[in-house]
Amino acid sequence: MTSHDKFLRRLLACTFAGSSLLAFPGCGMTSRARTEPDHVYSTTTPQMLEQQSRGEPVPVQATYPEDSEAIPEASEEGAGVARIPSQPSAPIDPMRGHASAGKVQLVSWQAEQVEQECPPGFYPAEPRVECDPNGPPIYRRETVAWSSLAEMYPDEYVYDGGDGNYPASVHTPQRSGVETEDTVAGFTDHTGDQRTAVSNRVAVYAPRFGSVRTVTTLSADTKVDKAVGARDALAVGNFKTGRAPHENVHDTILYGVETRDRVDGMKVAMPPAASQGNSAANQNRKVDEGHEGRYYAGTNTFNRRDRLEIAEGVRNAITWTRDQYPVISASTSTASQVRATFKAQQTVGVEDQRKTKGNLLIIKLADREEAQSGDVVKFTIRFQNTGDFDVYDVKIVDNLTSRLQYVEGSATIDEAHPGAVAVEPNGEGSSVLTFTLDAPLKGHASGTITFEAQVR
Amino acid sequence: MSLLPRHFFCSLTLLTAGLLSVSTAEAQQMYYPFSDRVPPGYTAEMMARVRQDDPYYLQPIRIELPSEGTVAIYSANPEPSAVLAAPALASVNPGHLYRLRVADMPELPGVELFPSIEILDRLHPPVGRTQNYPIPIVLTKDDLEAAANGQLVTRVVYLEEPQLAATQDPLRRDIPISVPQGANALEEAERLGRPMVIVRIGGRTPTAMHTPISFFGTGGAVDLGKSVPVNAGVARLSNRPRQQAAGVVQRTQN
Repeated sequence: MTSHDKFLRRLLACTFAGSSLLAFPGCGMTSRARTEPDHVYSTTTPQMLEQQSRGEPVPVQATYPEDSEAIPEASEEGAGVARIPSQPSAPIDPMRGHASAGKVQLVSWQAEQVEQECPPGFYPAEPRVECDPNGPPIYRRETVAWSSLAEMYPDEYVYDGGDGNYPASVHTPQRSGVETEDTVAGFTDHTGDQRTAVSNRVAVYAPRFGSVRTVTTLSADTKVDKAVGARDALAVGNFKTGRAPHENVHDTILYGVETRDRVDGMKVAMPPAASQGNSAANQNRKVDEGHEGRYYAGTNTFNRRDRLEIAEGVRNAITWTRDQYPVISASTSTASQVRATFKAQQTVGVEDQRKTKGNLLIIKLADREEAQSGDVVKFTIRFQNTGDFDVYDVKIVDNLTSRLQYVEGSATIDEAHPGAVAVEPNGEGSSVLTFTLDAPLKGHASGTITFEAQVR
Repeated sequence: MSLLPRHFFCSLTLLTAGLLSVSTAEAQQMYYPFSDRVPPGYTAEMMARVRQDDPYYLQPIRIELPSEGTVAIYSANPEPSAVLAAPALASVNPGHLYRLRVADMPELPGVELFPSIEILDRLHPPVGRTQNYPIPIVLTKDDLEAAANGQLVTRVVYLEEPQLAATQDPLRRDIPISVPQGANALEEAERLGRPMVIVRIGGRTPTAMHTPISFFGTGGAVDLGKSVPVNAGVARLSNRPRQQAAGVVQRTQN
């Protein structure tokens, strides 16, 4: 092996090693396998696609009922009075007395109807209530604050209530997802399903400040930032900007009226000045000259009118000479009577009028909208069963933020719904309050829980 | 000679891979556009332009000293807009720089300092409750002593993020949050919440001849509200004569 060959072998080995290092994720080189298919086949015709893009309904061939068949032919013996067809365009056959069967084709269309369905499963970041199209409206998360600025400047407020980033669950032996500021309730309905309800958020204006300190000494020194020749890759970072709630008002001017006048989708755009239209009853005048005609009756001339009269006369003559037997139909039916007797033993039941499943609704309120450090805020939690059936194992959990310190012994539950409260540290400098009702909550029943917390 | 070509390419490849990984790591660092080391007033002006808030809004502030003393507020004028007794309550415009003069402190007798305050942002309290929520500017004894000894103390007052709320009051804790010299205190405050005020306390004092007007601020409005000025003869004043503090004052030109 020559030296040149050795050199090439070493070069290939080093290049391969370097490529392996560059393939690490830290070096930013990644490869993604192509998994998308190359071709997509469709059964939709180009015309249908064009119509769909314009927003027009796609024509669908209609089907006809079984009885809408052509008028049957009359027999030679006569079939009674001839049926006059409803379509004047169909010619009348005087000898047969009926219209010739003509095929009429209708093309109907129907707009695509999109039925609103509830999405499968549960809504993300929403109260854990199964979607029921026929059920009550789902309670949406709202913030109770002195103004809408609470949503624009949340760092100036102390929040309590709602469900934070991760969905909370209080049914498992160990709670999960109950973060600070969360207030959720767990219950079991009459079917045995464990469900969760989320309260609204309460915002109390209570800003608090901190400071970062640095001391700079005036002295001469040499500071080494980085090695000579190092390359800096800089990118613009994000910084917070608080914007005032200015509004940009955009006035839209009505420039015209567009109306759909015709079934086939043609639109007529009219300016406002010409939007009014006058409709008047039009007179349709049709002069049927096709069925009128002068004729001259002659000895050797049969015109159409006379011909029809003669045909009618012949038919009548045929009718009179027809052998018809009086047909008498009689029915013999024995008189019968149905008599029902009820025995003395009867089973009587009361129908259960309850229909809707039990559902818990919790609302949280505060007795003040703003507070200074050291003030005490009284929170009220109202719970209500909005369904007909009872709910069981009702448990309301409130995880306080570190800005709120629970006042010992301040928790109360109304006498109609006795229960217990448990206070545990949440590991973030505050407490977790767990309110448990002793008895099931009957349908359409409600209660109140109150407690106090000091703003730190 | 035979060793050089054998190891040269391998070393070159490894070195290239190492430099690439280092530059990639540096690319992940974000650039923070504001700093507390830029000239006073620059950051407030830039943030005011970005936010485009009401320029005439008056944000209440409360200046606190270790115990008692007098606080004079300057706004682009060698004559103070007001001289108040500590704790001093006043309302100022966000986006402007103001100069203070603190004196008559029993902890530092005879010491007169001229800190500057740069108002970066404002609060949005309920209507009619604006005066109940001033931004606290606390000048501690350690800060005043360090400034009197020739050091430059920079404090960035921030609005605490509720998600990062501390159990104890972060502004009045015994151990303050500090960053090392040369670090960007404004960036650290941005990480903890929303920066509101930059306070710089140094040994710079104005002279009669060579002090530019910009030393006294950028011309924002000052409203005293219900505060009573000292020169009105109502607030308390220290009657002790000014004495030179031993080994304290080193007046340097910053």
